Amino acid sequence: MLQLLIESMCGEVRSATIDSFDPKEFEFLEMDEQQLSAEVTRIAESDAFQRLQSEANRQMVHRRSIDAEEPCKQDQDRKDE
Amino acid sequence: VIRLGMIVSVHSYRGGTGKSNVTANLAVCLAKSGKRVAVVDCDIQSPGVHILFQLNDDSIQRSLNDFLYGRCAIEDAAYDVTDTALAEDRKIAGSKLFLIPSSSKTGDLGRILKDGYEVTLLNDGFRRLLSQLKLDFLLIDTHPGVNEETLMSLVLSDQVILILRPDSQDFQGIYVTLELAKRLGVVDPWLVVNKIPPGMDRAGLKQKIEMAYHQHVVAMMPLNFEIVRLASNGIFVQRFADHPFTLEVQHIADMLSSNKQE
Repeated sequence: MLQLLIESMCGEVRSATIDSFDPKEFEFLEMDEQQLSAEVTRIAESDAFQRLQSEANRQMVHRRSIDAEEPCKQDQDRKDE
Repeated sequence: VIRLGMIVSVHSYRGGTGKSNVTANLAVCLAKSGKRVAVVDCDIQSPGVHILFQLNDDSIQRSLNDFLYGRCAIEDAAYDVTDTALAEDRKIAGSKLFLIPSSSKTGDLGRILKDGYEVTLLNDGFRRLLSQLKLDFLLIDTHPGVNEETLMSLVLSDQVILILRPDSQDFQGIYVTLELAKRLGVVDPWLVVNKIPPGMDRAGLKQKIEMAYHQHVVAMMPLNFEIVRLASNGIFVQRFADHPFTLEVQHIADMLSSNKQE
């Protein structure tokens, strides 16, 4: 009985929440683009991010060099199968 | 022409977006179509995707942590979860699904938090997995946020999928993530909106998000009460084949497969 009562109360709360919510309004998703953009610039100009950027570039070059060798090997592997 | 396998990172700015569930289910959808797929749990600080594949902590002898600390080759930490993840009747010849879990052991978690790890190791590790396991797809379940390790995972990927909820904090966080990722060279990430409440104007929401970020929203997933009830006890798409969530995940899988063939 208690379980039924709790379920019924939860059902009422859920229904009330969904009913009172206007699904066509997305104001809650508004953002201050100027402020966020400033935040991104601040992070991007930090030493830590600059180091990460250099490392990312280095890793991309490294990856391309691995990929350049790998297709031949993988092609051969599949033929062997 | 045989192309190398594709690396796909699934990321979100905050926790609780359903990132691990989407990753695991996406992996199953890809494997079901005959692909060789692996999932790497790069959420090293709070691992969990192994639970979805019914791999309990006791059966994990090697993990991604062991590779990152030089204790094993990365392929030695790969577990074949094909039989667990794919029902017999859904399996196609050639299907393979591997999981490279992260360690849930307290000592390993403590070490990661204290010492971190060498992020550049991931690059060689990912390429080695593609090659050694002859993968078509390598899916990376990232750690949420914009930390160094995660950003590097995004850079090393061929496709980045960013998951957000219709939520103010997610909305702002994804903006920052997108901008930083682009500055690091990440190209054309896909957006996935998850946990959309019943009754919400999906078309309006999609339009709003695409206009705000100038990126494509590739899937709109409903708030999924069945997945909550499943409580990480299995792979959702295997149990609810016609559910809207499953159809959206399948759509992402089809897009990835089609991109790989191009």
